[in-house]
Amino acid sequence: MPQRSDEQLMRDYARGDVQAFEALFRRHGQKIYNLFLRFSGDPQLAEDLLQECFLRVIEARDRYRSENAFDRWLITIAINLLRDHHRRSRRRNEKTMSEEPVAPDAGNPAGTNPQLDLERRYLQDAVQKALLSLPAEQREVILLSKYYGFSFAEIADMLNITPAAAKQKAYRGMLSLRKKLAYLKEQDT
Amino acid sequence: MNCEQVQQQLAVAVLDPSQALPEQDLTAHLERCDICRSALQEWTAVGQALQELPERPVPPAARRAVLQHAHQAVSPAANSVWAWLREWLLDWRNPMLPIFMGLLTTSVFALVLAMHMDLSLLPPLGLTLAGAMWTGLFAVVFYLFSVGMRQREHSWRFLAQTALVAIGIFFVITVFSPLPHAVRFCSNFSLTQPLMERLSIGGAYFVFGVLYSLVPMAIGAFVAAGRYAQHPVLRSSMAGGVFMLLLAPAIFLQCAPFALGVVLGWFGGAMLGALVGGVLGYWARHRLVRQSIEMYLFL
Repeated sequence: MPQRSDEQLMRDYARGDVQAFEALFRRHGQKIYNLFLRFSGDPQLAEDLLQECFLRVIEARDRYRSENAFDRWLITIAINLLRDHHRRSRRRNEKTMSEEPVAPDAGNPAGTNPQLDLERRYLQDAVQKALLSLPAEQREVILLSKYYGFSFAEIADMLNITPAAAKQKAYRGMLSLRKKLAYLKEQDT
Repeated sequence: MNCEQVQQQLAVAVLDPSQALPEQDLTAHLERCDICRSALQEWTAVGQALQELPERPVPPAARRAVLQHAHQAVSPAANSVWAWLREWLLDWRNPMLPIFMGLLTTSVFALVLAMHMDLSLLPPLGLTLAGAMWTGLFAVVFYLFSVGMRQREHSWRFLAQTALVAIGIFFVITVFSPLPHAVRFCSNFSLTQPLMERLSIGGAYFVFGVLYSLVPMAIGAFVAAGRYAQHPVLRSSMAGGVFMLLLAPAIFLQCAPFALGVVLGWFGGAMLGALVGGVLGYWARHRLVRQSIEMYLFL
């Protein structure tokens, strides 16, 4: 039996097929959770936002139009949630992101070199920290592009900006990341 | 094409390969430019590091909650009256919910008070105004709570949650031992009688007022202080203030037939107890519990 597309699954869920929703969640839940996690650095917040995001999908099941690609529609919901949260945090004058980088969850796979594992963790922490220090709009573009593989034209469409502006934000973000991570290169040499 | 333009293109091409420069142009430039060659290596390393960030699985609790909601939304029972009511009561965005909860709580608490005192002693207009004011106060506190839940405003949520838990405990204590009964009992009890004789009636109500608000408020702050880190003393005191707002009508209703000294004594004691109890509960949660866990782990 051919695999149903996301759009078909969403249509089926709107007609009452709960398994269709489960399949959608299996396909996209982890990606969205990690997008929130990388964006915020806060596992508890990422969990809350993930639930809120899929609750919005559930509530909008009858309004969803299948001519819109499901993954882009889902990302737009996720980005709007992140922006709402960011706006509220700024208004409350709180930190938007956790100061502690997200600890890798995978643990130490059997047979790997603990020294290498430690180095990998150190690098991942440094990258996550550098990512969290970027302005939100640069982080959005970089994550959507690198993590989701969207083109700048698609990102521009989702974020309601021009492709040139998306590229500019990506460039500035990458420039900051390169500067912030330069010390790792110095440590290597 | 100058170095800055090349580097800009290299950086975006690391993210989106469709943006790569034509190979001939790029190779020609990189062959004669050490800076851009070094930049390309660094962009590539940054891109690779981003790609290798660890991926976490969805926490099982979040997965369960989402799937449960998905099931409920399309189940045939979703259209029943009970499901509609449950949805209505659990929807924090529902603007009528705080008003409904305010009315419900006031009715329950008024019923509790009526079991212990004759409310007919009060003028009907005063009683109606007190009831309306109480409903309004409860509605505001429930509104704060709903905003806290909806917008993850932990400070508001804590404020409302502490006050609501404390007022609930106060009424539970009131059911089993109303404050005027406790004062009367201690005045007649041989062990406490000498102490009570030294205190004036206003003083006795002050002391009991402190106890009757300190205990519920300390428990309320202890329960609600879980995700609360900034300005604990200030926010615990604010929660004590909100608790006092909810408590004041109960005090005035119970004290209506008494002298002014009793009312002021109880009110002053309750205020002191609420402020101290809030800070005490918070402190207990964050110091004692943490210390005991650390000791347990250490041993």
